[in-house]
Amino acid sequence: MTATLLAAALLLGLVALGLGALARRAGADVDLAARIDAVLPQTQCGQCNYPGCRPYAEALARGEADIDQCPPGGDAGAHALARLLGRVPKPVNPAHGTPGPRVVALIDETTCIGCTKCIQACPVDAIVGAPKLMHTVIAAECTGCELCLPPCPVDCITLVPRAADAAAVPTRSTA
Amino acid sequence: MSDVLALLFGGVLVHNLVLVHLCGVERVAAIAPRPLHAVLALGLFATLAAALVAPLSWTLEHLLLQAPVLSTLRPATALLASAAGVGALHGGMRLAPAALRALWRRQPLPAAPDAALLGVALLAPALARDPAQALLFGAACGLGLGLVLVLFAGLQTRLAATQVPAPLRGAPLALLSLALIGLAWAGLAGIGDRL
Repeated sequence: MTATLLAAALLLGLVALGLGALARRAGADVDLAARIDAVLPQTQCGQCNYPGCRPYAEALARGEADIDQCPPGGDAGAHALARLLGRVPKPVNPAHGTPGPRVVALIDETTCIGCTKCIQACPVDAIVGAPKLMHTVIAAECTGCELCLPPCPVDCITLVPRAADAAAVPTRSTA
Repeated sequence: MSDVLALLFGGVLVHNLVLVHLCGVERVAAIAPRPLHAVLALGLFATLAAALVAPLSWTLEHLLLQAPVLSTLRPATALLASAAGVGALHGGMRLAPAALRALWRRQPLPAAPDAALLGVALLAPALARDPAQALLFGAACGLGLGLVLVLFAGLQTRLAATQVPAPLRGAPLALLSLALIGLAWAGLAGIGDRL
């Protein structure tokens, strides 16, 4: 009986140790959303059906979203997410959009009527301008999310391939 | 010593709740693909619950059901013991350290006892000779359940990436694979009975 009790205590002790290790790991997962966010392209384009990259990262950390919802990240981005989360890698789901080269928005300044609608649509405040004055895009801030295209009443915005010398991936400000 | 080994081996493998006694099949078949650490936590919590249920059930059985005519009440006492064990675990987790509590909130066991714990409550009095043995056997049963959970979560992760014929997708394939593994498991039957 003593030996059995000892063995049971030992076994349950090991179970407690295992749970402790898992609990510490889960505690470390509080910043999992931040680590996922660091992998995402920060286009804030909303193609994943979440309002931006951080909400998508939080949904991934909670296990609610799938890793194949980010077209700007491309298949490489989905693969990086799979590695980070320990899931099976898979390509980007075409239902969310097709991965393509990085682009930047360009406003045709002779056509722009200064309606400010694209300024309100831009998720990263990369368009400057004022009512009835010409607008322009800050290329270094533009993520190429295409969210400014639908609201423009005169279709003066086009997407052009990002210049090679510009940063390939927009970096987030440290704020 | 050989008693201890027989109980451990018996609980984890020979009397495996899911694969041999078909208790908790619904939990295992319905498990979604999820990361290993989440399933491990689930298995360890199940181990704690089973370790609580088994000695409780053993004690109830040997205090109340000694007269032969009362043995028809066994399902009732088993249900009582498993409900009490799960309740004790739920209560105990409220007093646990914050990190453990956070883990529990992510992977809680259902508040009502499931078939697996009921199986522990029925098996422990039959196979253990004293409460200490019941405790050890219960913990071993929980580990066996955890083993099958880990096995199946891994299987589901693999299946999620393969093309399964439409009629087999989901529960049918889970039940088929469970049955096949159960057949293979039958080779372990009887080991440890004469240790």
